[in-house]
This record gives sequence, structure tokens and C-alpha cells, in this order.
Amino acid sequence: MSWAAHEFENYFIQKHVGVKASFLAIALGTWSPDLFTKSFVYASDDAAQFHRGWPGIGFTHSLMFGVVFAVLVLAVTRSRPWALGILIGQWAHVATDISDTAGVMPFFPFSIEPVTISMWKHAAAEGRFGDAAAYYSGLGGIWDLFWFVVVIGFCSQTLRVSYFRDMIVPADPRPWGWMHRTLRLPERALLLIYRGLLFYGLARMISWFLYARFEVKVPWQPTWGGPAYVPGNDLSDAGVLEVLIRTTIGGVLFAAFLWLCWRLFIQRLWLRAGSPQLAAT
Amino acid sequence: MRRPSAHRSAADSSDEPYSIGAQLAAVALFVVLGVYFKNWLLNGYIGPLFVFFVLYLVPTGVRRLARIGRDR
Repeated sequence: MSWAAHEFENYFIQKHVGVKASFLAIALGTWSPDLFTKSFVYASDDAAQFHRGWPGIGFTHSLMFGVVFAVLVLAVTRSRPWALGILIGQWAHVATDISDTAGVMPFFPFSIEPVTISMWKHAAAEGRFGDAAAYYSGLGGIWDLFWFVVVIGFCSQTLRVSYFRDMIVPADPRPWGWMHRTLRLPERALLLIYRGLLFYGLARMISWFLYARFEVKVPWQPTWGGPAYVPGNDLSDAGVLEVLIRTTIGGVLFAAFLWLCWRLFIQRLWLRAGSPQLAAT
Repeated sequence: MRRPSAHRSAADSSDEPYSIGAQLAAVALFVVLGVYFKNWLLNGYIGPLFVFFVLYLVPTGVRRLARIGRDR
């Protein structure tokens, strides 16, 4: 899991999708895998298995979960920017969480083999605070910092007032307009809500890093697979070739299923839904 | 296309309404309070709205209270 990268990624994604996707939907999509489950994960006897495995709630970290969520949103809201935002955001979360030792099942239910590059330890078994300390003692903290640098260095235009005015609001005029009219919030207030995730990610990154260094004083071990003081928790002992074969089969079946669903009903929902321009009229 | 209504008012005439100093101060405050309150503040429900509270809601509230006080 990532503690701040999921927040920073939203601005990077937004830069590349422009008005095609709603920023609020991207944010909801990136949160969706952990939105209502995190407390249960920390309370679980086998946190990694429960969080990312099957049996467990590991399906929330699959590409299929994003598709189902996006299709439901498309059917209910008839908004392409919202459906696309949910899908891209959730898929970005899945892609990022491949980096920890528990990994994800991207092609669930066609493959329940966890895919991971084991860059840092999945440490939910340590409890919420222990998890934060472990994350900011391994490469997880560096990963967050990388995404912060990407946003500030390469996506800073997405933070400007003009970008908010010309891209963010037109992509999704209804909720922003509602906040403006009903809650009587001026543009400068809406801008802070838009930038809130960046501030939140930055403060979270620094605060938990300081907590790990100066309060619980756990060792800083930013090496591949670290930190070493946290016990390993890989969900599968399958070899690389085995994972590759199972995941490839799962991927092919997932793509075929997606194509079938597109032909059967998603295409109809997509054509029925409005583009950002139509939604704004 | 109708322009989204979340747009300009007289108060929004300047392009960037918040100075870098104010934004950095908000981050510093967020970090200090985050270290103290930890997950009470650094969670996904309250955290994303912190800067909105600090840079908009609190100053607006204080200004309104001051105006009410003056009017009395």
C-alpha cells in the first residue's frame, strides 16, 4: 500500500486525461480499494492475506473491481468523465500496490496469483501506526517522494488557478457548480478543495516520516524489500515463471471478458452517456 | 456550452489567491498537528480538507465574527 503516492498520482493522471475524466472521480477511484476496508484490515488476524488475498477482500485491488465500479457509475450517472475517472484512478491504485510484498491480484477472478515486485514490506500486521512507521522506513517513503517530485516538477500546471478553471471544472461542472451554488463557496475555496489532496499527501508523508524517525525510532532501511525489522509476509511461494504463466492466462481471460461485456452492454451505456460538453449544457 | 457556475466573483479577480508563504505555513501547521494528532488528522476523511479549513473557512469565519463584533 502507498500512504501518499495515491494522492499525488491523481494530479499526474489529470494532466494526461484533461477534460476526459473528472478529478473528483479519479480521487474516488484511487481511494476505492481501501475506502471502507482499512479498519478491518488492521483488525484482521492475517492482515496481508485479508487485505490482498482470496479468500479475503483482495478483489478490491483487482482491475475487475474498477470495471464493475466504473460501469455502475456510468449506468447511474450517465457521465463518461466520472466512469473514466473511477476506472483510471482505481487501476492506478492497483498498479501502485504491486510494489509491496503482498502484491495484488490484477486479473481476479481469472487469476488469484498475487503479482508483486516486493519493493517494500506490506506491514499492515504491525497495526496502523506500525504500518506507517514501516512504510516510511523502507522504499515506500522514497516512492511517495518520487511522486511528489513528479507532480511539482512535471505537473505543476495542474495546480494553477487557470488549469482548475479551464480543465477541472469543465470536465465535471455539476459537483463543482453545486458546491459553488449550494454551499456558497467561491472559486478560491473550491481551489483549496482541489489542491487538498496534494497538501494532505505532503503533510502525511512528512508527519509519518518524522513519527518513524523521532517517536518510535525504528531504523531507516530504504533497501529493496525493506525494512528488514518487519517480518516477511508474501502471500504466495510461487516462482516467477509460475506467476507469469498464471497471470498471462488471467490477463487474456480478463481481456476477453471485458471485450464481451463491452459488446453486450458497456458500449450501449457509454453511447447513452454524455461527454463533458454535453453534461455542461 | 454553459460556463460552469463555479466561477468568478468579485473576490476571485486575482489569479492566485494564496501566497506561497501562506501555503507553506499551512503545510507546516498540518505537519505539526499531524505529528501530534496522527491518524485523527492524517486520515482520508479529514486530511484532504485541512487546507480548506485553514486557508479559507477559518479566516472567513474570523472575519465574519470580527464584522459582527464591530457592528455591535
